[in-house]
Amino acid sequence: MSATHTVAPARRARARSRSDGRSRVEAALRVGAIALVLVLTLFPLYWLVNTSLKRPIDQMAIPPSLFPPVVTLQNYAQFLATDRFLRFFVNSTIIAFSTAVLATLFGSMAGYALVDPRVRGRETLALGILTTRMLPPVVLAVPFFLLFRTYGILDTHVGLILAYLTFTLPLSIWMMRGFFLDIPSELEDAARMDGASRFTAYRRIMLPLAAPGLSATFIFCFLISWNEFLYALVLTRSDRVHTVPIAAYSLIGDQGVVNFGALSAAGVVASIPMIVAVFAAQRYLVQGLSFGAVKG
Amino acid sequence: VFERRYFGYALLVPSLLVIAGVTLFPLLYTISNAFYYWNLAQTGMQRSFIGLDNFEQAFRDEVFWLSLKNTVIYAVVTIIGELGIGLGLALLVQREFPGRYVVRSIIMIPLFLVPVVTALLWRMMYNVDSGIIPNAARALHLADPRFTWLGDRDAALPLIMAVSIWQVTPFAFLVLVAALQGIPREQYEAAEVDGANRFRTFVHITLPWLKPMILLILVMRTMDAFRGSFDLVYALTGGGPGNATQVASLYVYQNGLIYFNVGYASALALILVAIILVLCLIMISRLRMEKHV
Repeated sequence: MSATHTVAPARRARARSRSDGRSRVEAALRVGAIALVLVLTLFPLYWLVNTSLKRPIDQMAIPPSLFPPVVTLQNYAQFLATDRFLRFFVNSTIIAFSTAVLATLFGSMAGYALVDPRVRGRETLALGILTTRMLPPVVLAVPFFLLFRTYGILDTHVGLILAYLTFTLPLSIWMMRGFFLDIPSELEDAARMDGASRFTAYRRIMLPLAAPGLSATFIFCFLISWNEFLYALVLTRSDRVHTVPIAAYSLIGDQGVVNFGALSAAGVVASIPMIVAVFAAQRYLVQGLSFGAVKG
Repeated sequence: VFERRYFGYALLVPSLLVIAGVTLFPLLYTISNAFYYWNLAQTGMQRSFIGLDNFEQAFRDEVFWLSLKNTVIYAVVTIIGELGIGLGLALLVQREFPGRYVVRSIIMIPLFLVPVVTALLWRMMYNVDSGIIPNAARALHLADPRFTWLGDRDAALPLIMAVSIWQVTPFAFLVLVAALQGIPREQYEAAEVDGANRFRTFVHITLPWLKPMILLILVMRTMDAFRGSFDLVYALTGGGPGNATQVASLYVYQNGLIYFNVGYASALALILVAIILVLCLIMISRLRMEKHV
């Protein structure tokens, strides 16, 4: 033991001088690598904005120009001015918001139950709920189409909200379960000692403590509902229900891309709410992305 | 006493009802449909029981096999790409440097773009005539002027996979950055004292620590590659040229919701589910052995 102690400082000094010699090259390589990644990440995003600001005549230039020769907002004006696009935004908001509210409400209840030691078989149940995530959406899209047609909820907001609960509810349950696991159960026990009913203890103690988790869960459910494409493609028919991703896709004609400018402008506008939401929930991103399995 | 015992169960009721209604019931319906011939496109056609014929047809369906092969290639290549690049990036930003948080925030943006918008953006950039990528490649003499990019049978799938890697690498990156922050500093100090070099430290300390997280990423991304390749492929190539980029989820969609061959699509869907279940349960049991779920 003492031998290690006497040798250590010498070794450490040697290691340090070695790394000093290499550090400049290493730092330069690191800066280079990070710069490359940033360029690769940002360039497509820049291109989206760039294209959205070009006049139609400049869209078709070969080779394409790296910046708009004339900056125009006409692509944005073109669809923001129409009632139709506003309608798609309202549809997406109604559907994503309702889905997120229901998923967060039910998920917070079930998530709490799944950490309650008095509930038997909770681990098995949690795993069973997780397995529903393995179902590819397309597997449910076919029966949804048939059943919704039979029950007359094809092409309605309600139909799409029901379909979106298939993937938001399991996510919400698992995220909330993770948050409740972090709250010491003594807090609830203390409230119970003071004579609170279990419901009061849940509502007054546990839910407020899990509040950051509730908002992160809500944002995640909203986000994946906002981005969803397949169910919206299959289960909606009319502008009355079409969502933003469908509207963006419909800017492509059968012969390929019709209007790059409108498409890019729609893409920018459709992505802004999401990027805002992500920065709002930044602390809990990893937890949400990993179904609550990784604490950020 | 009653309240005490049953409160937890009561809280489960709404969620279980929803899951039963929107997941289990449609799934059972699909299972039943898989044993019928049922084509909505043929008027007057009844739903008629045909036993295992749909499954038999699926095993003889070359396009279905091709779509499975493409899905597996897509999954393996994109997951390796995402993990490799994500890990490299995570190690790069592990150390303190000015602007570290800005860099982290920028890197994750692609993950949160609307996937269809991502696909359309890249479709625009891949456009043979006016797209920036073909034009840049021609200007730098990196590509044959006759090369058709997404129209090329051999290149289309790799080009889609590149988009997927661009879009989803931030997921592996974010999870691994979070995991790296959890490594106790003492372990690194101990390794330094023992004179371990960078490589040995990485292999003996960093990698074992990250292993459960890497497995987790594998499980989640495998599920997603089988589930989620739909948006990108649909909006970039629609499965073409020919069937060069046909993937399993798109093929089920086409059979069930374009040709309305409901019975057959249900059988294809069930085969797909069986494959995913087996793959994921193997990986999840590994994960549970690592005691991380």
